[in-house]
Amino acid sequence: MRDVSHIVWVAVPVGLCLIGVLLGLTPVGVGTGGTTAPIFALAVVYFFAVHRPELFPPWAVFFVGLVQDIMSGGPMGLYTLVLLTAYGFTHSQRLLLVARGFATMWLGFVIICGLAVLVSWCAASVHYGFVVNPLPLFLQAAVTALIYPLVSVVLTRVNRYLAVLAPAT
Amino acid sequence: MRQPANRVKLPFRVSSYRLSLVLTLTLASVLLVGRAESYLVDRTRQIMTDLSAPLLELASRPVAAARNIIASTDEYAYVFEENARLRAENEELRAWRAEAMSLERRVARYEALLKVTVEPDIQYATGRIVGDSGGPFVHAFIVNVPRADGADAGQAVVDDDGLIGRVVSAGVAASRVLLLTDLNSRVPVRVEPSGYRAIAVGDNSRFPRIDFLPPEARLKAGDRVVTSGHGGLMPPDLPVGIVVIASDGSPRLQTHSEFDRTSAVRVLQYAFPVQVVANEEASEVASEEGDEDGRAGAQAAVSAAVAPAIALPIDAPAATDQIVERAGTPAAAAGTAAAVAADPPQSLGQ
Repeated sequence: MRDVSHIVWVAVPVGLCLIGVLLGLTPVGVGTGGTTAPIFALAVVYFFAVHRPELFPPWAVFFVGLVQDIMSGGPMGLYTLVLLTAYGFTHSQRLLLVARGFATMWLGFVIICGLAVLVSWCAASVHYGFVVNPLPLFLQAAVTALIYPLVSVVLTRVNRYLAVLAPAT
Repeated sequence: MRQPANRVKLPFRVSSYRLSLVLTLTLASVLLVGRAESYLVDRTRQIMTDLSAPLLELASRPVAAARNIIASTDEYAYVFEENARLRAENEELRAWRAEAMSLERRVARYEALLKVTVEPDIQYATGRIVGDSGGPFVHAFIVNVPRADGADAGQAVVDDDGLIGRVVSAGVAASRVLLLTDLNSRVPVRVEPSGYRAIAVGDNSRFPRIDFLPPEARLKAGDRVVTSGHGGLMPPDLPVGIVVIASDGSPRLQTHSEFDRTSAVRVLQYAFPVQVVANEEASEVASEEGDEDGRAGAQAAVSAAVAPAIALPIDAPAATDQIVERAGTPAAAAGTAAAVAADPPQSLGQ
């Protein structure tokens, strides 16, 4: 019964990621040569990989990445790979991050953003068959790292509700 | 009894997690390396774009309002400087207007003498940008112009300043527009005044490359770039931008449109002119040379047929009204109306 109810709660991080994908597509109109929108889903994946990984299994991360790939119109599999790598790495290091202060969490996220740049640069270069310019990737990662405190406020609140509604076992 | 059950369950959960992660990572890599850009992916992308279009439209409204406030604040701050600049520009434009009108009359007379056939008027649908791909690899907009309004893959998309890109897929609620700067964008262009043909190749940078120029071509910074119309997808002579020379000496394109500021666009429903409309009004001029009214009519007929839709403001109710307004004289207006009312099938092959 516990597993069944937990599968239902997977909808929470997935739903938050999908809202993030839509927010990322909103035409804000700033940036260089097209808007460089933050990857909101990366922040959600990171937060849940640290605090509630059982509510965000790899297949759900895969689904979110696929949606992000489809909606962005970019190479299929690119964001999926980035999110899964970030998820896997964060999950392996979660004991270092869980129950730590906000500053540690943010620092951890900055490292994850750096990892995301590396993975997406390698993946895009392989996909296109030439070395892509990494500058837009750095810009996007920097914007993503900067919005983390804002996203963290929302996610911490959601996590508090989840702790009551779907307690960890 | 709970303790042993958990002990058995934990290793199972860990191994299932690992297996799941490895499988999904492998699948993602296969998708990426296998370049999974099939018809199914395109269809899914369009369906999801259609589904998200109402939500994006809702989300984009407050953003658009905020952008308008910021823009108007900026305008207030520079209102005096802007006014002085516009006055100077207006004076210059008046001189150009007189010259353009004289040239237009001359061209109309020559076309009438040569019995030149002109392309039919271009229909268009106006829409708002509701989504921006926002990624570093894709430069695309989602525009709320559905297939029902005539949007279709390949059509040119313009804003107030010039060409911004083309439609890559159209759905029941929205269309995706690939910008000129995107890595996959290729647009046939012509460089004025030399007339060299080239291809504007997007490379995800702000300034697309100008490739496939003839070896003898020497471009100068500031040369005008317009669509060539080759390939038949886009109308010819749409303003695209100007030539800029990169630090390595290669020519690049600086688009007239600033994509960061674009909010409303127009999708041009241009059909390749297999059959062109004969310029009947102009032909009349040939027989009535010297007749002032007739000349004005011919001039308006030419305007109506070749006037680039780009010259009109986005909120124009109809292209014809604007042309009547721009033509100025009642005779010209009558000429325009006649040109627009002409039934293309009846006047073919003249």
